[in-house]
Amino acid sequence: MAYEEPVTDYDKIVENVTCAFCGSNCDDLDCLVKDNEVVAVRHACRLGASKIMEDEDQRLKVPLMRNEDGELEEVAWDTALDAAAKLIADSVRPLFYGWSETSIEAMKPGLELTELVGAVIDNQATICHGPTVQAVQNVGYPLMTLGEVKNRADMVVYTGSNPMNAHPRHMSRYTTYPRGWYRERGRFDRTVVTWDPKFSDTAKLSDLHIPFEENGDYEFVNAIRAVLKGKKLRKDVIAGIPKEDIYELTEKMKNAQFGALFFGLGLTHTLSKQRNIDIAISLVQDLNKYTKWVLLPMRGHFNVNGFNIFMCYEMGFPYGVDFARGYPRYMIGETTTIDLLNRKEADLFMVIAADPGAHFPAGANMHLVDIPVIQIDIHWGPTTELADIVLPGTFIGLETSGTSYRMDSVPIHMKKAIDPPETCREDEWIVNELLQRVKKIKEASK
Amino acid sequence: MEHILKNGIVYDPTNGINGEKKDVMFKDGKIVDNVSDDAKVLDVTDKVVMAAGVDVHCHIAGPKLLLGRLYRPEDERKGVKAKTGVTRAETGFSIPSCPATGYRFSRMGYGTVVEPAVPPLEAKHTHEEIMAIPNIDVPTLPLFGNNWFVIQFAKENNIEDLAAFVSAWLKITKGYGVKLVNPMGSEAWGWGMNVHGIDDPAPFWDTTSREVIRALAQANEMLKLPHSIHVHPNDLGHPGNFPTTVNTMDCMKDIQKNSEYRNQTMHLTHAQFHSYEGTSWRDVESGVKPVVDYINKHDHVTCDVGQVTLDETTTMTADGPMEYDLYALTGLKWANKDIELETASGLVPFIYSGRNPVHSLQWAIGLEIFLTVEDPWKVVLTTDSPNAGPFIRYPRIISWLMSNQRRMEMMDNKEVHSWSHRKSSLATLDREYDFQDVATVTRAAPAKIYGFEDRGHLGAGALADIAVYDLEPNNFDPSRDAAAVEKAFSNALYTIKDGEVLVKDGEIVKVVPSRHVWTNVQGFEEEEKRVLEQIMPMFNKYYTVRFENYVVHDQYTVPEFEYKVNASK
Repeated sequence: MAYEEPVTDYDKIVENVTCAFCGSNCDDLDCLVKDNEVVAVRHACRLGASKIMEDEDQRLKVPLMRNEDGELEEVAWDTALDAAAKLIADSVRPLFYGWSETSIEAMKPGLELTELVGAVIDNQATICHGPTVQAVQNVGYPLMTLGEVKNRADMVVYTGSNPMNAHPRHMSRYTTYPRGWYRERGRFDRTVVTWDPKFSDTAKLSDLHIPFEENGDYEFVNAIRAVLKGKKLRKDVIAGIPKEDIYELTEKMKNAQFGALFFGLGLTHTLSKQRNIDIAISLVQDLNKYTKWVLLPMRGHFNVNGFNIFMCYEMGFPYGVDFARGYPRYMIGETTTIDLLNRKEADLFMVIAADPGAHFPAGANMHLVDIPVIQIDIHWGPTTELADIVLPGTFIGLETSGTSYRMDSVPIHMKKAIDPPETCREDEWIVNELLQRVKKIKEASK
Repeated sequence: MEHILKNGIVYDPTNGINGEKKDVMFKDGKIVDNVSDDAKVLDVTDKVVMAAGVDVHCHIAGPKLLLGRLYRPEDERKGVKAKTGVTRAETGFSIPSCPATGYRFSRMGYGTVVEPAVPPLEAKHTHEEIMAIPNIDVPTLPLFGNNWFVIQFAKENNIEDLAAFVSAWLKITKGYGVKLVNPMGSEAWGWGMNVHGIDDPAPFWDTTSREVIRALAQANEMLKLPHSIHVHPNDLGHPGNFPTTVNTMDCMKDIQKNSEYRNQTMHLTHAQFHSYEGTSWRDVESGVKPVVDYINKHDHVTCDVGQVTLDETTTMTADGPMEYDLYALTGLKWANKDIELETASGLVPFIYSGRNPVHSLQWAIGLEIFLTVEDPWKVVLTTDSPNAGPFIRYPRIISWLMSNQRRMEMMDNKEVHSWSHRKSSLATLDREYDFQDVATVTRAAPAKIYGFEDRGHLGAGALADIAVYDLEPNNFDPSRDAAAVEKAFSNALYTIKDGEVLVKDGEIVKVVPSRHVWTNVQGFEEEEKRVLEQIMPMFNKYYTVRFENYVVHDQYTVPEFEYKVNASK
C-alpha cells in the first residue's frame, strides 16, 4: 500500500458512527464529511471503510421496472410502489427474504405486511448460521458479550472462521489485542488458538494452529470431550491430529481462567452441519465443570442477528416463519427459503437488503426467474438482474439511523452521518408504503 | 369520556373498601368522585370489582426472554393462537411472544407489570420488546448488584457518588428502580464461581454482598426513589439457604427509610426459593418459619413469593451460577449470557412435577409463605414468572389461596408428593384468603411497595385501571369451587386501562401500546455530571460500545410514563 496523505479538507467529523458491514458492529468510526459526502473514515477496517467510501459505486438511485422488452427502466416512485403492492396483494404464496442489512425499524412494517398477506418471512440465517440455531435448540447456548472476553479471557479459540479476513477488527477491538480489566497487558496475557484446516491469516497470528483435516471437526472436538471426561484415546491420530496434541490442548483449555470459543461458517457448513455445533456447545458446557468457558457464533451481516432477535420477540421463532395459516409456523426444511424455492412453491419473492442472485443455489435461483421478484436495495447486484421491480433504499448507519444487534446481541443505535440521495427512500418508508398500498387493495376487494 | 361502573362489589384495600356494593366512576382516564348524567353506564351488578392488577416481578421482556424464545421453539409451539380482527397471533407458554404477553396479562385484569432484571448494556433491547407488548404499563428495574462501578463505590463506601451513579443510570436506561441479583455472586460467575452467604467476597474484589446491599440501600434512600431496593439474595435455590436470606434482611435494618408512601426499605423477591432448610436435596425441608418470622417482626421488609405452579417452564435469572447448578442437576439444555461490567445470566428449561418430592415441597413452601405472613400488605403474589411457573397461572394460585379444601384435596389424592406435608407445615394451615386479601396481594400491596400512588386502588385521582371479574361474592363460596375462581380470574369480564375498555368477556377488544414507566430523579444533576466525568475513562476502556450508543435514546421509550422524584440531600 502506498502512503496516503491524511485528509485535511473536510467540513465536520461525525463521531461514533456504527459500521454497517459485519457482525462486529464497530460503533467508534469517525466520518470526515465534506459537502454531504464522506471523504475519509477513521478507525474502520478495510472492509468497513470501503463500504462507506466506495458506496456510490453501482448505487441504485431511482426506482426501476422491467418494460416490455425485459429491460429495467426508470419509473416514478408511485408507479413502482403500486405495481409492487399489486403483485404482493395478488400472490398466493409470497416470500419476503433478506432483512439482515437493514434496521429493526424497517423490519417492523415488514412483519406487519407478512402477517397481513400470510407470507413467509426469512433471513440470511437460513443459508448461514441456521445450523447454529438448530444446535442451540438442541443443546443450549452458553454465551457472553464481547466485553467479557476483552476484560477476562486468557484463552481465545477461533474455529471455522477467519476474523482477520471476515471480521477484521474482531481480534483488535474485542478479543485478542485490547487491554482488559483483568488482562492489563492485552495480547501478552492471552493464548490464541486456531483450529482450522487452512493456515489462515488468523492462524498466522495465533500461538497455536491445529490443522485438523477437512470435515474432521466433529471427530476432533469429540476427542477433546472424551479426554476431558478422562477417557483414553485409542487412535494415535485423530482427524489428522496426533493424540498427544489433543491431550495437551485439553489440558490447556481446562487450565484457562476464562476461555472463549468463536466459530464461523467453517463449522456450520462442513459435513456434520449442526452436529458440529452441538458438540462444540457441549464441549463448552463440559469445560464449565472445571473453569469458565463461553462461545459465540461469528455472525456475518451487521443485523443478521437482529432479525432473529426481532422475530423471536415479535412472533416466537427466529427465521423461516410462515404465516399462511394466520399463526406463525417454523419448520426447517418446510418453511425455509431455499426449500420453498426448490419446491417451486413461492409465487412472489421480495428481497430486501440481500443478494440471493449471488448466494443461492442455482436451482433456487432458477425459480426466481419464473416468478415476480421485487428488490429493495442500495446497490446493483446479480439479484437486480432477476428483479422485476427495483426500489432503491438508503444506507443504514450512514444515511439513515436505525437499530441493529451485534453478534453478541448487544443493541446498538446506528446514527446517520450524511443525507441520503434525494431520489432514494428509506427502507422503513418503502416497506411501510407497500404495507399501506396492499392494505388499500385488500380493503377495496372486500 | 365519562363512565360509570354500576353496582359492583368493590374491593379496594387502600381506601378501606371491603366488598361494598358501589359505583366506580371515571373520566378522561382517571377515577373521579362524580360524573355527569351523560356518563356511559357499564352494568356490573354484584360482580367483583378491583383496581387492575400490579405485578411486582415478572420477566417479560429483554435479552433473557429472547434467549429463551430462540432456543425453546418447543415452548413457543405451545399456546399458538391465530390472529383475530383485533389481536395478532400468539405463541409460547412459559416464554410467550411479546404480543401474547400483553394480551394474556390484559385478559387476567392486570394493568402494570414490572420487568425486574434489565442489564443496562441491553436496556435498549428490553425497551424494544416493551414496544412490542401491548396493553400494560411496564416499569423496568436495571441490574446494579454486580456492576463494577457500583462495587467500587460500595468498597469506598462512597454513598453520594453511588447515588449520583444510580440516578444517572436510571436516566440512561429509562429504569424505575434498583435491582440486585446474587450480589458479587454473578461477578464471581465471570470465573465460573459463586459466593456463599453475604460475607464472601468475589475473586479479585475485596468486597462482599453485605457491603453492596447496604451501599445501594443507602443510595436508594438518598435518592428518595419510589421503590426500595429489590433484592434477589445470594444462595438462591440451595438447601439450607434460609440463614443467608435472614442475614440479608437483617444486615440493612438500620437504614433509614426516606419515602412517605412505601413502608419498606428492602423488597425480598421470590422468597420461596430462599426459604430452604437442610444440607442437600435429600434432607431438604421448609425453612419458611425463620424467614417469615423475621418478616412478621420487622417492618423494613416486604416480599413476593415466587410460587411453584407445577408446570413445565423455563428458568431464567441473572444469577448465572445458580443456573449452571441447575443444569448440573437436570442435564437440560443450558444457556448463559454474561454481560460485561454488569451481570451474568442463565437459562435452563425446568419440568416441575407434582410427583417429584422436591418440587412438591417447593410448591408447599410458597403457599406456606402466603399463609403465614400475617400482614397481607407484606406479601405479593408472583411466580417469578417464568421461573416457578408462567404468569398465566396466577388465577390458579388465587384459587389455592382461597380454598383450604382444594389444598387438602391435592395433598390427599396425591396430586402433589407427600413431601409437601411431611416436610412443611402446609397441612396445618387452614387460613383462606378472602377477596380483600386477594386484592391486597395482587394490587394494593404491590402498588404501595413500588410507590405507585396512582395505581392499585380506586380512589379519586388514580388511573382508571380497573378489573371486573365474573364472580358474585354474595352468592358464591370460593373455598368450595376452586375451578370457578381460576376461570373467573383468568378471563376478566372487563379490563379497563386508563379509562378504555381493553377486555370484555375475557376477549381483547382493544389494543393500545404499553407505556415505559421510569423514574426521573431531580436535584442530583451536578453530582451526576461529576460522576459521569469521573467514570468515563473506565467506561471507554472496558466497555465495547461507545457511551453515545450505550444510552437508551428517546425513540425507544415511546410512549413513556415518567415519575419525577425530588431527591433529598
